[in-house]
Amino acid sequence: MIVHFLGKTATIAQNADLYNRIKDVIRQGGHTIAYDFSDATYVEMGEGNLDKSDWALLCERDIDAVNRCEALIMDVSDKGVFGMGYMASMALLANKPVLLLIEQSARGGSFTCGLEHPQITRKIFNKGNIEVIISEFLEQCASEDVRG
Amino acid sequence: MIIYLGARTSNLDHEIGVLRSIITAIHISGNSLARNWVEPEFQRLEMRPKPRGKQDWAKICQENLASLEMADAGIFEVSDRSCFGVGYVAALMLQAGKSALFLVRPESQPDGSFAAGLEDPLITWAEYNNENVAEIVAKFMNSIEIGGRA
Repeated sequence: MIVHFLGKTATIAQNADLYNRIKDVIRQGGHTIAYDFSDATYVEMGEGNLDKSDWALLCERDIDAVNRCEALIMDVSDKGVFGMGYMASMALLANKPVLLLIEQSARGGSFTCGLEHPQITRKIFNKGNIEVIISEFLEQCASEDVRG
Repeated sequence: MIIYLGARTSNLDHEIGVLRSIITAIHISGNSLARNWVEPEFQRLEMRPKPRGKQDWAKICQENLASLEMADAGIFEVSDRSCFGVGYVAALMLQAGKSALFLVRPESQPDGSFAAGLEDPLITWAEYNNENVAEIVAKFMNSIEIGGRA
């Protein structure tokens, strides 16, 4: 499957280890990452402030990735931001499965906690169970994809 | 027309003045809000600051999505990268072919945001301050009434 993974661009550096682990699980499961947002965005952010045209490019990449992917995984710990909500909405409108990851120690309470849709899977994760959560979600998506 | 108003609730104590100006501008132009959540939410925060995690977020989501269906257009405060819920609803609105005004404070996010990069003919983008926000909203309302853009 083609899988798109997203987290907050503003916290890519501090979540680098977590995001690398998530990406490793996706790849080890034989899946393809639609667009590695964390590597590409991090490089661009490191080069200086992003302006409107940079964000237009990032939007275009993300929207293309959501259109191409068969499943979407998002780290929405600490509520998530506009772009992540926008991407989740697009994926669900196309009836694609979406995994919302919420870190165990994250502040509770947000739209991500209340959103109900048959294609949403919402999981609380910690450093010990993130690989299992990702694997199980992808296995479920793949089996439903085969059946579908 | 019926207008959906979207904004973060986590910063409501700072943005209440602007949101009130937007609501007044909507009403003065003869239009109405799909869901007038601002004053009840502000009063709730003032009177009973229940932790965000204790709120009924499923109900909040349902009410938001129901009011979105009623709306003819949307106004979204998207400063500081906004929040998941505002992005979620904005995408639904645009996919439904409804016009949206994105309002951002110029000083809020110097390096932009995802919302700033969205290119859709249904989006009107405007930088605002407390003095001109009512004028911007009125101009947007007028533009969608006549079928054009602000």
